[in-house]
Amino acid sequence: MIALLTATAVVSITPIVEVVEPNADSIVLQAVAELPELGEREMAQARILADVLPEGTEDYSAATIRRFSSLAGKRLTCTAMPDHIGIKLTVPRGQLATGVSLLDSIIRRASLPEEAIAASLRHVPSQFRSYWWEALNPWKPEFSRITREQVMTLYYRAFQPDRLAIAVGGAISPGEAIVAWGKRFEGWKGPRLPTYRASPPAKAQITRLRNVTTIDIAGPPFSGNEAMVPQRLLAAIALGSGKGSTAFRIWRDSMGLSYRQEAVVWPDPKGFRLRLIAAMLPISQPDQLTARMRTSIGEDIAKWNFETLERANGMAEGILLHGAPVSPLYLSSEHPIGDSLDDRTFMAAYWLMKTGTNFDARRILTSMRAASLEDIQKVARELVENATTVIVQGSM
Amino acid sequence: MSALGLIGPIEPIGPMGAITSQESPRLRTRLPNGAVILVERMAEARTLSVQLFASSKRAQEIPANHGQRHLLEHLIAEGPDRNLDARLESNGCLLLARTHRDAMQFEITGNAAQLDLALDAISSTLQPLKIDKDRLAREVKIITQEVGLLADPARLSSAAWRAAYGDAGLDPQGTVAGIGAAAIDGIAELQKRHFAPDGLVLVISGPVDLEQATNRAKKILSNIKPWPTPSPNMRRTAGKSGRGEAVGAFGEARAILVKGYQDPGTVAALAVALALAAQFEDSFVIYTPSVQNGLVIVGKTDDNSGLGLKIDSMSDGSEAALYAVGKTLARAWVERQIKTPSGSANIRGLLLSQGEAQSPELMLEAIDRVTQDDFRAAFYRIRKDSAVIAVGVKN
Repeated sequence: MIALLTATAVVSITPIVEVVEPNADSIVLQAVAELPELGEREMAQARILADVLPEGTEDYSAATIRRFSSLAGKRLTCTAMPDHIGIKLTVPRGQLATGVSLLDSIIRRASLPEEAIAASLRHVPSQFRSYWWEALNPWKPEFSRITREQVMTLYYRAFQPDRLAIAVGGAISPGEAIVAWGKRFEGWKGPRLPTYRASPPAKAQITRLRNVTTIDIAGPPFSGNEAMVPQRLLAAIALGSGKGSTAFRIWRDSMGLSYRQEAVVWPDPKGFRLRLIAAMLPISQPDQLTARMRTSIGEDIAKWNFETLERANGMAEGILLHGAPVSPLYLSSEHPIGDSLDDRTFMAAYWLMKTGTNFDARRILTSMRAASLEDIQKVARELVENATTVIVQGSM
Repeated sequence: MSALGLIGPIEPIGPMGAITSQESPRLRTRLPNGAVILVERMAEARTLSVQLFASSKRAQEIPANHGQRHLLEHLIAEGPDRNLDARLESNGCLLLARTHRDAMQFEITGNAAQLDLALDAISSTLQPLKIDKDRLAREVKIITQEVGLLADPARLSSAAWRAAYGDAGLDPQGTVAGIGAAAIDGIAELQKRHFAPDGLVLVISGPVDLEQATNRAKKILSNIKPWPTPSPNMRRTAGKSGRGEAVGAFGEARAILVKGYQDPGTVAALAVALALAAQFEDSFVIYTPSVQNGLVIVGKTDDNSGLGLKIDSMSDGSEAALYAVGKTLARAWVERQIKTPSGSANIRGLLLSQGEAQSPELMLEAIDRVTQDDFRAAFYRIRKDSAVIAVGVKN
């Protein structure tokens, strides 16, 4: 997952970062806009906004956007996560200028048509999601009485020059994307907006139609800029990434409870949360089981030793440098961040938006290698001792 | 001769009597016991992929043992002393195991300096299993969970295959009944048949030296005793259109009946499926290249109706607008796979496990030859009267 950053420039106050890969067959443009802390209604507005953003701008019709983005074999995607709205656009080689124009238009001049919002309100609330996606994001938005004005307000609140980061990756030469963005954002100021007040927090769903139960043990949020971030990432890997992890050995191998169990680093408006999520066939008395699961994790943490640290560091290297598909970083969707050009470009933009610094996998790895066993045990114990749990029970 | 590679003279090498074929940047070697080694040099790659494929030619799924190959995969992946993953993960390597209809697959990924570690791990997978009742029972329990947690696209695919091919199309995941019927002796016998050397393919892809990597790979495969009889040919009878239900799944899928992966109808079907998927958000396409009859599947799981209606309501002739983008996407689909060490080793190994002459380049050539007529014919085969239809239904 090494980002080959050759240049970061600040255009107006919006940073643009390049991930140059001259042999790529396409160009990926990613915009990441920071969201405020979302209540249940703002969460609904964010989902509708993400669904409707591709439905045209003042400069491009929806059909044009669809046609153009399909040429590279990947449609334009917009995603609403707890801390950001992301836009990903892929264009064929040589089409950077058009991609920049299109993305700029979506960022600053989206149409958000009334009829598209109405259509979105009809299908988004009942959209079927995989059980894993439900487990990652169980909080239920409140879709009633959503208006276009509310969606537009959230759009303008998120897409402001000082809340946005843009990354361009793939078949570009160094500096080309920065030149292409040029002075587009010079003088860009969004409209004045009312003071933001979030609605009540969304509640988690507690049942699902599928016959799958998920148990989520989540620690308190931590800032992306705190000094212990490498230790927390290393603890996440020790807890739940790979077959040598605590969750795999104890919950799956030893207790036979689950088939899928992973550590998840999940975006939060205050930074990130470390979570352990397990998926299993439906069970009776899930609360009791959850308590046993927490206890078992705590007991294993106490037994961690040098081999635990060595394995976690080995896995960290595999994940951060070689794209091993067991990353705990679920930052943009229901799939963990990997080594694809899309993901590296996303991380370049996201980390900049989140922390104000460039994502440097090697530097993070170096800090992880310096972490002590006691450090990672301490942060792992914080998860277990201060966790909140969410159980989504499947139908028996 | 492939347009994409240079095939040099085929000649025996060394005292072991192996037959080697130079297909720059690859070196393919067939050992006297029938095992095949393919080493591919990707000088610029940052990762290394080492993959072992064990053909299912001698170990086909039947209802009575449905899923026991999957169980075998789980048991083998642990390693003889159940510490295989610990050794690998401490060095930043990862073991992934998969069971396909045509082969079982073990993949080790890591960096280029770890070829010996990866080959050592592969060697572990070739050791006879030592299992007891407790270990068997534990793994049966875990697979029961896994089967219950299968994602909806996989369930829809399974339903489509059942509708099209009946018992000849059993999915590799298995059923609780089939897996639960496993016995220690039966699993041991299954392992012998499944891992007969003339069904083994070892692929190494990454920044490696062709000769050195080949010689190291030979050491772990050469000493396996050849099977006394040749392996049977794999031939699945022609499928039929119809409708299948995936209980507990959500969504719907349409599948086109296809022949082997090089057949013009097959690559045209893939082009159709990818072109349609590009029109519908959050849709999926499933196709595993095979020399046998199979399915190309396109579906959606965020909606329980609509995909089929949209396909059937497309006017005659409207598919012409999708022809160019379909071919482009099909080509990109193959090219994306052969671009990385993991993807390339995956598709090459899977095809080689079905025959030494098989390669993704043949698929690319077939895609380039797809005509508008081929595309139209494939498009009409996804309409409701000709397609295999799979729908999710409640429990």
